Amino acid sequence: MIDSWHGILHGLTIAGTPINLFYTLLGVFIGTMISHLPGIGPSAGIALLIPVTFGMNPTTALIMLAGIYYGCMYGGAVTAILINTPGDAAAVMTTIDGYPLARQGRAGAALSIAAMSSFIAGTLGVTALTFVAAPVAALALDFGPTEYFSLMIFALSTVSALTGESLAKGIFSTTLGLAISTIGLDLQSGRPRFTFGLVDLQQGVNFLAVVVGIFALAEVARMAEGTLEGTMHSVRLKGRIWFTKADWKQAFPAMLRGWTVGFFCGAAPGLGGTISAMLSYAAEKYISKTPEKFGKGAIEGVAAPEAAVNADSCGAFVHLLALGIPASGSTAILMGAFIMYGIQPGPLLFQNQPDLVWGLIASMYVGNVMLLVLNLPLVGLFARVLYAPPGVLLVMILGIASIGVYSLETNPFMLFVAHVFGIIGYFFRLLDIPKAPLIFGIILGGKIEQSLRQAMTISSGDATVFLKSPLSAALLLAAVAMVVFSYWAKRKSVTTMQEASAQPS
Amino acid sequence: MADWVLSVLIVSGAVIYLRAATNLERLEVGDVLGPQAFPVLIALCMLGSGLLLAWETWRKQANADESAASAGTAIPVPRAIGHRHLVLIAMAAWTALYYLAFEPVGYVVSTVVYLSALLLYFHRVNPLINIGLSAAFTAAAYFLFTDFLQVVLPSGVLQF
Repeated sequence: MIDSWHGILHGLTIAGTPINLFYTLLGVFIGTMISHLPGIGPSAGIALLIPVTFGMNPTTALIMLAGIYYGCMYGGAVTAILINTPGDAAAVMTTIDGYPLARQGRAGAALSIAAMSSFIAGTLGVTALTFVAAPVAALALDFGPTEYFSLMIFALSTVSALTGESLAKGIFSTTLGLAISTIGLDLQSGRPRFTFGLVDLQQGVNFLAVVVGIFALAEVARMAEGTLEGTMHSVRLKGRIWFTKADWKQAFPAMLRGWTVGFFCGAAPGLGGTISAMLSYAAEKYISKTPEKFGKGAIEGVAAPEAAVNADSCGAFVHLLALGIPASGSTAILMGAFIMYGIQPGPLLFQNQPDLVWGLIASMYVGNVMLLVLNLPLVGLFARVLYAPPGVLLVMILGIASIGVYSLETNPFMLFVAHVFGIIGYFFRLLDIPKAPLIFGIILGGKIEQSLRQAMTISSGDATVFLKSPLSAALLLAAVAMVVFSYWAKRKSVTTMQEASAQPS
Repeated sequence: MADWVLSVLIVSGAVIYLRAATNLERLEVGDVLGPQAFPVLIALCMLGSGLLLAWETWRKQANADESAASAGTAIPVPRAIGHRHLVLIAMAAWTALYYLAFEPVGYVVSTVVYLSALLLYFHRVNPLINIGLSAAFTAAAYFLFTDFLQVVLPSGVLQF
């Protein structure tokens, strides 16, 4: 603890130099801007800017690249709230309640709550990173493939909380996502599966192309319908630009819960920001006294996932710095940048490069303050995007989505993937099929299959291995309980509604 | 009615996927499960979801019939394909055409034409304003992605 105090105080003297302050500001600013472009997520943003840092002092360069990473996590909510298009995959959950709030004229409240959630979760996350990095990482290391498989099945079961009226449609959406995740080369045998002979599908279906298609392009179709029917109009901000006291009262506990979920998800390698956002959203909906408000503009539905995403990005640094294991695609690229500078992340980093590691951690405190100062005054400006006529807005969304998707792999095939998923997204809305479970299935599919096959190989094909591990058995039991509870809760709500409608008015 | 059709489609899709999964080549070496096991599990779950949806729909319909009979109201009839659907189909086709032209024609020309046509339909003001908006958006996006983000966009017919 004392060492951590000394370390962080020493780090503040390094992060506080004018050159490092400038590059922290530049990094968080670039990250925020990048996150507003659908398709250019933190991974692509960091990868694109690594060459710019050649010749720079490694500490300064890594401070800037880390700034881009958490700046991206911070800003992904802006497009999610304003145009129902997540700037990065982790902001998917923010669309569910953020966009309805924007359509109700409360974009400013949603954006400012998202900014405050990110700030609070980011600052708490860096504090936790400072003091509990090593113990949390050690706990996550106890997880083998058996426990990981059960953990992810449990995570999938929480999807039932995200479904609408029909459990069957939620399960279908999840299984469709899982099926999509099986497209591409089989990791164990190297044989192509379900690629229809297309070379472009051998690397699998690009997740971001799916996200942009199913959210942004499908939203364009809805806006086009609204414009044609005359029901879609420019949205003017109503009341205060920022959040109200009542919003804060509802959102603050959700932020703290979202932070807890996010930080522990970040510390478990491989789960990532999107999963932590989904878990925190599901948890919020479960414990809420008014779960029916979720999906229609609940402020907690913005606060919890935003806090989770930002806490997750701090949690991911636990593994990167303390153990030298990347916890997500973005931190894997950051690790590549470390190695490019001849620095090996891991337990010895704290001894061999104290200036770098503590300077980097301290810069994250400074970066979070900078992000808040940068973003809060811009809330009103961002919200004015909705003043644009719907006809112009829908065309611009198409333009941004198209160039964003193309830039993923500079491959026009990605455009067609997004197009197909745009059509699927439109029918999902028409048939009231929830979209979030599909995304969940795509993200978790590869990891679930890998853990399942590894666990079965280790146990020589004995399927009871999942019940022999107490942790795994508990997680599987919790998964079953989650589905049963969700089904019971849905039936109860239908019965209550039927009883209410039968009452004489 | 839509949910009945959906449940039939899900069951059919699951059966096709199951057949494709079982037809995957199994290797003699490697892990004990092989590449088929996970897709087969998914197919079975999908099949289950289709059957569950059929059951849910049947229950919902039975309840709705009962409520409609007791209240004396008719069950609403779904709307036929109208003008907006035709516009959406045309938009989807126009977007597919844009994506086909993206590389051979080039980003700048194809995007200005694509966005201008959409704006002329959805934003009925002076056509010159719409063309100007499309050109301004395309120029801004082009410089942002090529100069700042170092993304190579197709130049196509312009050759610059």
